Amino acid sequence: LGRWKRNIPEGTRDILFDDCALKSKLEKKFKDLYVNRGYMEINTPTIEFYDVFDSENMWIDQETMYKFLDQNGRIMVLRPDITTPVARIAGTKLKDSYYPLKFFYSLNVFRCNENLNAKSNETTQSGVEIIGIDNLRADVEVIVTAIKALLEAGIDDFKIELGHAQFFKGIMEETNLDSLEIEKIRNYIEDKNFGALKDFLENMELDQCTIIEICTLPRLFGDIDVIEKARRFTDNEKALIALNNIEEIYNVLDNIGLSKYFSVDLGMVHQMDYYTGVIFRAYVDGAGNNVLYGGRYDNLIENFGKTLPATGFALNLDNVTEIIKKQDKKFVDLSEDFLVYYDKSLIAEANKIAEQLRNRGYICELSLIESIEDNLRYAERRKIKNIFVLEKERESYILDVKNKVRRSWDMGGEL
Amino acid sequence: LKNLRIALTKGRLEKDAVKIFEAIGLDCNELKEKSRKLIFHNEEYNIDFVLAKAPDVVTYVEHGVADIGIVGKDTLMEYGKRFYEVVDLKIGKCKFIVAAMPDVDLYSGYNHKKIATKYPNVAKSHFGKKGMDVEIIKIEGSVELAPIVGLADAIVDIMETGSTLKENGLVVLESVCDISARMIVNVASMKLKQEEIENLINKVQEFLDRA
Repeated sequence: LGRWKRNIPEGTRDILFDDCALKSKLEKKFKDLYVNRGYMEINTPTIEFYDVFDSENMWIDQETMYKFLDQNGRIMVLRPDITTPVARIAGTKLKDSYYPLKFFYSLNVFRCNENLNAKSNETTQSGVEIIGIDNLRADVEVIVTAIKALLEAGIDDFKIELGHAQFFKGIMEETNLDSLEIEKIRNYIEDKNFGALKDFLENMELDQCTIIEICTLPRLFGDIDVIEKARRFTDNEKALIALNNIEEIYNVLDNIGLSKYFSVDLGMVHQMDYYTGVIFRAYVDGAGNNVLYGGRYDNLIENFGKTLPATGFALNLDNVTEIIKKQDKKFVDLSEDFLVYYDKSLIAEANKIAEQLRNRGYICELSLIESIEDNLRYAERRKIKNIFVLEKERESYILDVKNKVRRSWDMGGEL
Repeated sequence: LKNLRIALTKGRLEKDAVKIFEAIGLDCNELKEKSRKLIFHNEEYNIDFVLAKAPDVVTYVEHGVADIGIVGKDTLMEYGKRFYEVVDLKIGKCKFIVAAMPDVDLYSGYNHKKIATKYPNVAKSHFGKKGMDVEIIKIEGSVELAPIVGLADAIVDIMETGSTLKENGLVVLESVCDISARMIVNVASMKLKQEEIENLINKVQEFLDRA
């Protein structure tokens, strides 16, 4: 017993001082952005019933969820994502609400990843969901909010990549492959495994035209020209509607002046049972995986009792914090302006002075330490610029910590 | 040109891969010089080469510190992480096989079978597909030894010519799948350095199609 008391679980982190301040600052930027665009904040329980996440089109593997039993023997999980609890709320408590509902959240999610791979098991997701409306305006709103969030954070070297769930689904409908075969093809396309895809298709009973069509799919990524290329090789109605949909969104983004962040990947075919429309991911230079993902999921909420269209995105706040740290932007400054050192008998006076300094906009700390030497040491370590010295029956003065110079101070005068 | 970093699996694959890169016009002389350096730079194409052990190649690519990796399919199957697998380089060809001593009947009877291997995930998934419960023993060195000394009933390993098996009196019971070296690409790099990476993929693919 007690063997692990000095350690923290794999994949978790203690986040201290500068790192924590940076994370909070970014979190607040995102929250302000969402509020300013008309989203309302929600919180959901950290623990949920396993059943909430156990549906057919759910994409979170059960082995990646932290599970435990409650006092009645029911299976509980630490929430592995926020979108599903949002869907639960939308399908139950808010089923008779007005629409659209615009939510945002900034909450921790939990996944057990493989060990020793520098992956976090607890991360903060910041994101939005728009419930109850299925149109271009909503899709654009979500994507623009995502772009604005990354820009607001101070990232500008990124690409938002758009795909569409119906493109792949439409093309697969043209074939008479069964669901297992389609799943194989989906995996090859998702991994851009060109060779294996071709080999697999050549062993299926497909005409040459369809084989070429499907083999081209994972190569259909890049700028907006990809849409035109894709139109040339399919006449499937669903697929064509999907292409029009992406193009419409591109045109709007172009008008807003955001198209330089935009790219297309029609081979984006992850979580195909979950997503139903436009899907997108954001990639940032210096981060090996996407930092933000989202899309339209019109079939999720019906698991909870009401059919409602929905779209949204989530960004990984910890990843964004890492990126900003790497960019070496001086984002947070934890230094203080004043340390008020006082004789014990002058504690009321010291409080008054500290309050006055704070009212003038200075960050001011009341000293908890006895001697002036110890205060100086503390101020140096803590990066405090000045010590305000308040002694019995002597004139108070300000000590410049760096230069060790005394200055006098009269109340109300300039500092 | 944006900088590309390519992680090569040290050893035999490295030499075969260098041949391909030279054939498409990449100068690899610095790489070929015997030295202890682990990172090499090619000025002309702005490409870095790093040398690593096979599983590390996959890790570097997954984390995006290398954009591209050259690594055997055996490693990809064992460590299966998130990356794009874009080209079958057709080098380092071999096979995953199940082998045992000649008198072993691995597929009948209800008793628990023991399998020694360097590739526990590959072995687990292979026997899982067959519906067989097996106990897997991870071995680091020469796996062929395990059935001889009686540690395991059979082995799952890669086989090139089969001579090591033969010399040790083992026979192949079945072949699991073919293996060759692959070019893998980090998912973010593929999008952020699309032009450079596609260019390289196309050149390599053209060379392979000609060969």
